[in-house]
Amino acid sequence: MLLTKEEEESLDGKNGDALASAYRILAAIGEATDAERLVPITWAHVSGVNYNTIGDSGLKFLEKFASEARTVVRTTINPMGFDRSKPERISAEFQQKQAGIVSAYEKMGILPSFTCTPYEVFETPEKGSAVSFAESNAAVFSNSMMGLRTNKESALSALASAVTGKAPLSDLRARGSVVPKTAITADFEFKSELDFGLLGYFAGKVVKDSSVSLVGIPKPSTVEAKALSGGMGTSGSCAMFTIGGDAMEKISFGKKEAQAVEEELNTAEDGDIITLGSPQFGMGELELLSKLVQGKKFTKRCMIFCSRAIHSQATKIGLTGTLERSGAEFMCDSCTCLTPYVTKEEYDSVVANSVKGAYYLNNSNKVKVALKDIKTIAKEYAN
Amino acid sequence: MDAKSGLITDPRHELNGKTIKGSVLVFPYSVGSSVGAYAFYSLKEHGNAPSAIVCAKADITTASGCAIAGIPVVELPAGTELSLINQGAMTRVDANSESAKVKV
Repeated sequence: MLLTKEEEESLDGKNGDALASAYRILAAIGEATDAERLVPITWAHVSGVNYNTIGDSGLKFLEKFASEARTVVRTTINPMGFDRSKPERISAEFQQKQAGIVSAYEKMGILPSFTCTPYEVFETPEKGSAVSFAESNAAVFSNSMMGLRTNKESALSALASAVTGKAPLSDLRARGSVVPKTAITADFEFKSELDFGLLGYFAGKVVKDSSVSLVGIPKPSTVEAKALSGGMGTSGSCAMFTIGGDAMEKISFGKKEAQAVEEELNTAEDGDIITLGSPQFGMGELELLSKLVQGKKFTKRCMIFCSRAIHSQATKIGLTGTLERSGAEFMCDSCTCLTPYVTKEEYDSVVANSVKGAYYLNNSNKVKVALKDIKTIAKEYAN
Repeated sequence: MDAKSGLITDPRHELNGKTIKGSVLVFPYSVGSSVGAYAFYSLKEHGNAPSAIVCAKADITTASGCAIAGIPVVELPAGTELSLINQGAMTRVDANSESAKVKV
């Protein structure tokens, strides 16, 4: 990859250690993705905020990095471990480590968004704008639904882009118009957003390319596209879908394939509690759920994960009130994936609506999951 | 894998219980979470990093994590089978920014 004189100098350390590290990362991912050069980006979304995901060495890295580095473009960040206004039951040690991570990011100048759905919270740049998104559901959603251009970045590569304002011009970021090599055809009628999530997870597993064409499904709603993006980002390296369009390689997604994914992730019949989110709930999911449970009570503890921005918007129009009267609890700033709110010491199993959530609850939180769509959860657990 | 011990800790993995410390780690490419990049850094911090990584396709997670951890990453030429390198084989990796050699 060709660097400008100024970029070379930063790489050589003339502008400090942090920028040298950032350019080392950009040079490495540029080589890995066969980029010709770096291009300016307008937005970075960084993951690696929850203490459960990056641990002590991550905290140490960020503290050192933040002593010099400052963001030069709009930078939003992923959820942290817990709701800042509900620290009860979170250990003092976790709270302290989490505060260290947050303050390092704040020192760098990030927006403390604590959301995995930045596309639902912030003003979207023009179609075709180059961005750098580490959160995988956000990369897939923004590429596919909003016409933004990002590769499936890592926590460190998006951070490098945040402090340099640049990212390699390669793969999805370099695309003119994408013609995916593989098409997946759904040959049954989807009943809920969960089917979109299963398709996403299947696609991520079987498609080795960075994009895929999806055939046989209608253009997904925001709620459905979030489920699809979450599933796809979890299982593979594919970071973009198109709806319709022919391709060289054709793969079928029938009931059998959907069932196989469900069998992998659905590890329990029932759960001790309900966790909703991943991606965090937006206005779409909150509106849907509130209609379904209005005037009813949840029969189990029900945690709804959403961003503080969405929560405050939903509160203004009475949505959070309706759900709280049904007994739901809101957990802002955090999400189901690797949250310390859900531990195997406390729970054997949980009911979850999300394919992505189910994957991490099973594999990282080590609790069993009863995977159900939002409508079914409302039907079975609210009366 | 557990960064503190350097051991692979996935019971479904054929190398479960083996250490990757000081090894030449061979894999096709990485999948999974974007925070995986920190795992390479964490291994280095705990003194359990592999000596080198050989993969079929260097991906963004591996490349960015290894850039910070100082672990050399070598991508095999397209069409080369990873299975040419057997588990346990003495493998030598010579790499700089210009060229790389993998000798089994």
